[in-house]
Amino acid sequence: MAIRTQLAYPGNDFVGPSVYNQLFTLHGTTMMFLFAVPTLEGVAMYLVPKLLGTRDMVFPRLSAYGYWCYLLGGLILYSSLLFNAVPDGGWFMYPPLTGLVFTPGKGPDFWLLGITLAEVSAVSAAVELVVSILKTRAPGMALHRMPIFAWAMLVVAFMILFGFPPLILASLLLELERAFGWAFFDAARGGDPLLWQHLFWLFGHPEVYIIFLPAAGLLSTMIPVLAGRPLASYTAIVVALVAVGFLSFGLWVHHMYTVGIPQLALAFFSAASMAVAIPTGLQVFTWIATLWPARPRLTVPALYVFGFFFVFTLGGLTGVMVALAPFDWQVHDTHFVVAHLHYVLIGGMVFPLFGALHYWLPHASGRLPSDWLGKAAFWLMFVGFNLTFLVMHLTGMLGMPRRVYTYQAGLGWEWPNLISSLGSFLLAIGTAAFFTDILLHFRYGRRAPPNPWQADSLEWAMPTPPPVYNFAAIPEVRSRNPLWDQPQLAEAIRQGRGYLAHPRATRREILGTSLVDAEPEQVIVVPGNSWLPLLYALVTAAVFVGLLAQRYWLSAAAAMGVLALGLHWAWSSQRLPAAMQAAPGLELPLHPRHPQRPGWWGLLATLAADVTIAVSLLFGYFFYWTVAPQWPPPRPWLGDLPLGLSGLALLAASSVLIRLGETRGGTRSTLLAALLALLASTAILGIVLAGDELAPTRHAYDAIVTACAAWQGLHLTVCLSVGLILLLRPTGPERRSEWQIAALLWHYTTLQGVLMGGALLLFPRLL
Amino acid sequence: MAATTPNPSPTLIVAAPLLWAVHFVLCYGLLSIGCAAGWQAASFLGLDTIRALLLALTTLAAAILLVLLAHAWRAHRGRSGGSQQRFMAVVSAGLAVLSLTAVVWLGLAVIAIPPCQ
Repeated sequence: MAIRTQLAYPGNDFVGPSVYNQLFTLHGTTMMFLFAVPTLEGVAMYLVPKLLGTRDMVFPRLSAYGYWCYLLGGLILYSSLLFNAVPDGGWFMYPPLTGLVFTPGKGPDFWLLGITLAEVSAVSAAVELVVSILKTRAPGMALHRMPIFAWAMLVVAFMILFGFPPLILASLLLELERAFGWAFFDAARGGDPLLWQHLFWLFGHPEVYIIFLPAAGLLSTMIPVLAGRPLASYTAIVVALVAVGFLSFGLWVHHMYTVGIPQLALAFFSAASMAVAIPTGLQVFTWIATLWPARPRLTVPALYVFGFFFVFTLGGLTGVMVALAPFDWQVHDTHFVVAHLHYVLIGGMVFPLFGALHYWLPHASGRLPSDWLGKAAFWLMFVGFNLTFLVMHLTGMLGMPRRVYTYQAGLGWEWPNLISSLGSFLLAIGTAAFFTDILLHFRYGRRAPPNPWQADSLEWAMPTPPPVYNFAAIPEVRSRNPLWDQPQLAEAIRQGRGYLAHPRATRREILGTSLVDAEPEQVIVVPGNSWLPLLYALVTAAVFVGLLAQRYWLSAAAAMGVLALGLHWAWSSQRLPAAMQAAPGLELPLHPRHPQRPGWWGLLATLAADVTIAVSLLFGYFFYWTVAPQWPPPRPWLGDLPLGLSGLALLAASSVLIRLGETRGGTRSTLLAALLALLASTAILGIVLAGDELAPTRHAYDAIVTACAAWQGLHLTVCLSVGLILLLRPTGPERRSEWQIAALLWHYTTLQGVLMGGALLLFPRLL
Repeated sequence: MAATTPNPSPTLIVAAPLLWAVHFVLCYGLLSIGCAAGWQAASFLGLDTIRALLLALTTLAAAILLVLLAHAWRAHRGRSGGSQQRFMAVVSAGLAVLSLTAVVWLGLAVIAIPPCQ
């Protein structure tokens, strides 16, 4: 509102230029990182287990850790207000503007460190979602019966795992440049500011779909219920979700059409930008086809669904327009783009989200929100929104640039700006009415009947508000629309007919099922309440605060704390029996005895994020070689080839030893040998690095090589610690599954080391 | 209990878009490295080397996608599978069609636009 007030009249001085810059930076940052993604992940944390027919997410402590990281990251960013150091470089933080030369002070550091912490939380939530959705669905809920919202979140979680790490990496690199003068983005020293843009948008465009797909999942859940019939094509929606998940990674350069990349490369990205419109259209048409023969009642969620159709379709159309490179050259950085992105984000995310909040409120509280107030809020928002942003297309076509704090009279921009500003106030009033409704309904709402919308999905089979354990017994699912096709289900759950129906005071149990067919295969015991995640998040945040305050001893101490707590986290375990009866006549192993326990899957998902960082580092390395000025470097670091290769060979040997232990049942001596080999390899690689002294402040070449080495060093350290744990821990029947987890990490570290080391040692010699 | 069926592999679903991704990255990488190294000067069959390589890559990717599509189609037509198998077959066919579209569009751009400008 302050932004629009400033722009209401030409030459206004309501806030002034510097506060205006801070406002749009914080607005963009908050909406993208602290509102859109966390809110949808929060909705997912609530809904996903209930839709899947399970009691909890599979790693509850990780959820808690992620939440605390998000909170602390947001607090770090906003604490910049207290220190009068608010970041003002735009939500995308392009260097060199955000470099030390052009932005001295602490503003960008608050952004880089706070947002990185919030990203850590997003990644941890993604790991959790992937494993929960793949491994803990109710028995019988095979992939082709999985609720669409779970499909959407599965795709989104994978996108987060591959999309967020490039930004985490870029933030760390920029912070290294700001804090220690490493030469990543400084063109004079062989760096390239364009590298930031690549890494940022490699995250940034998938981000748009990371925000849209959960909302699309919510729509696919609500629309059949509003229409009273199943989705016109479940399969088409699944195809569309998966296709968007992939194609959205081929779009990043379309934010960079004007930076001077070869035209043919631009055309590649333009082609992918057009291609991604097809699956999105597929979804929209499936929804229309679902609603077509139905006569939906105009309930509040239905209104939001229709609002979405109107607004998002327009946003999609302007999206195809700006996907065309020549058109984009005309409107780049004008208010046309601002209008486009608000149509997509508010239409595609806020409207479905508000509809969904209204729809699921009776589930969370057991009470009905007000129909009258809900409708008033919707119309205020809808009219206010279009008044603000429909007119803004025109403002942009008339040539008004983005991110200017004022403009001169006489350019034809006065009326459109005034209308936009008035509209924004209407939008704000509507939003306030919506939240008033939510607050009031907790006290004044009527009691909701069971399943008030006559929905088909499992979450309405439980009493509302839901008990902490969700399901008294875990049901067996035989349909895509379980409550419509299995009407006796709610009663069966209440009476405790199903899996794991006998609660225990000493432990919390959920059912682990197979990936494709969802057949029961293990009983997973989830941990109880604990302070550990909060403590862990606080120590993690301390690392960042130390960097921010340039108290590096604090960061170092906190990093040790992170490692120590991580080891403690991994060490602590509960004594469990080998197997138990999950249902009459069905004996299942408990998760420590199952070769692929949830932890193994969790590590596999985490490694997806890991490999993305490694690949991004290598991308940076080759990007410098091909594009950056001042390359090839005057004095390239080459490293001692024979010594380096022997270090890598030792690394591979240690992995082979671990593999032997995996197949033959690991003994302490095998483990000890593998650990020694790993230690020797680490030492040799360290010597190779030290032999040809690297100076990261001198040239980007030295900086990127050091960064690669540090990344590999981190993995070697974690591997060594995990190996030590395994060595010191008493051997028991759980050994096999623990060994498998360690082995997965070990093999990955080897693979990464060989790839990175090989590239760094061999590539400069080939040229 | 769900009836035991042979496990259709979930990797089949993502094979087509994965192929698109590999093709996309290879094309972008090849173009960048090729332009930096000046490969466009040499010509091959009337085209500059870069574009000839890009077209070869695109043809290869499109051919593999067609094979995937045919495979998925046959799995769909075969009546032996249960609803789960048919679902997987249709999803992979759909994804193959979309990936093929994206690959062919990229190929069209290669034909129309000179490299490195």
